[in-house]
Amino acid sequence: MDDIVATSDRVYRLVLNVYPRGFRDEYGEEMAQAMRDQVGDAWATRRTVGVTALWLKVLLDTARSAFTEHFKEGRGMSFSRRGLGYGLATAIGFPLALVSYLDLAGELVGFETAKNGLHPSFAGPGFVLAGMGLHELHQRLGSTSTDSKASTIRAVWLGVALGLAGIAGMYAPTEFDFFAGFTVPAAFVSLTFGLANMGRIALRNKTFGPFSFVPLAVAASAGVWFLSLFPGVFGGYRDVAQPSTLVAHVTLWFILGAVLWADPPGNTHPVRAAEEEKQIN
Amino acid sequence: MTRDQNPQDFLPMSESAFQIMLSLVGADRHGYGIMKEVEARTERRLSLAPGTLYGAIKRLKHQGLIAEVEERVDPELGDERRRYYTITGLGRGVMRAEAARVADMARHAAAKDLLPGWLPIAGPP
Repeated sequence: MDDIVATSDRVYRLVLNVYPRGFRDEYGEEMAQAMRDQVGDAWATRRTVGVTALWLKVLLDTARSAFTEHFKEGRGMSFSRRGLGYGLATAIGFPLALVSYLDLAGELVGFETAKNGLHPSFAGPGFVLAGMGLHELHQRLGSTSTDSKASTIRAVWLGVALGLAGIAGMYAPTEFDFFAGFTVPAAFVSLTFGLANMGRIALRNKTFGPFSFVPLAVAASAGVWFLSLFPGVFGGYRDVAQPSTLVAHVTLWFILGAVLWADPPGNTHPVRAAEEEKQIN
Repeated sequence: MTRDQNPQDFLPMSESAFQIMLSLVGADRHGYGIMKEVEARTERRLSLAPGTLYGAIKRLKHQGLIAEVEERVDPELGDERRRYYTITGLGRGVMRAEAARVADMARHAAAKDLLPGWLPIAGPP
């Protein structure tokens, strides 16, 4: 029995890495202790069947509870409910902007690229979503130097501004197309700088570990799945007025507006601020 | 947490939170002790795994409904030291309020013959 308990203990301690760091520090040892006790009981009563059933239950519970803990962790790179919206915004916004720009970029530089079918105009909400997400997630990194923080925020919003200017250029008369050719790549460079700087600070501060990105990855997958629900999004574009493209646009901007209304970047929403103040007190 | 918090503010409770706190009424327990007590009382209908249990403990502690008391050895489980939890005064008030709420719902259901064997009593005794 000792071997089973010891092996389970080693494996469970690895599994515990999926929880946020703060939660692990506070309860990881107790959770491992409780798991050892449970494995001992399961082995004593039902041997291999009991231990297998217990592990299945624990793994399912871990997947669900680790997700919850990342969302509820509050400050830090771990994902509070508030952070979820912005994590999702980044996860959808950045690839959305990138993918929707790729076709046009190919045309501008004269290469025939494979059409991914996402209308370039989707890069607009993509840039705004990514900017909002990066801004807010960056605010949650915890302590860092004010200068470093300010430069990242500036880079992010400069990227958004360049991106939007580029998108506007695409819809200007043809001779302004070159404008988008310069500004949109610059927007990506700027946003990538913001993202990289954010990651550098977070890793240095040990605010999150590699597994902290699991919820973000799940959110990104969910976002891609959501976008695929619109037939016009991945189904090819030729006309911005195509009904499905318009519907997808309206939906995206509606979601963006709702997120901004409910929870603006910078934690300045008066109702939320009052609620948080009440909770702290 | 402020001392004058209203127990009604914490309602309704999730079943896990209710069962965890109920296991602390009358006895301080460590995590595994809570798991065993809940499992036995609910006849294995509710079986808590470590993730759910400690997630709930974290939130209940943060809300001031339970507190840590001490670390000590449980003689029935070897010589490892274990952290014990206790219910607070606020937690006890919240449990009373939640129990009253659930009982009230049960009375309404009984009045409509949805709980065979239960007498539809007009109000709390």
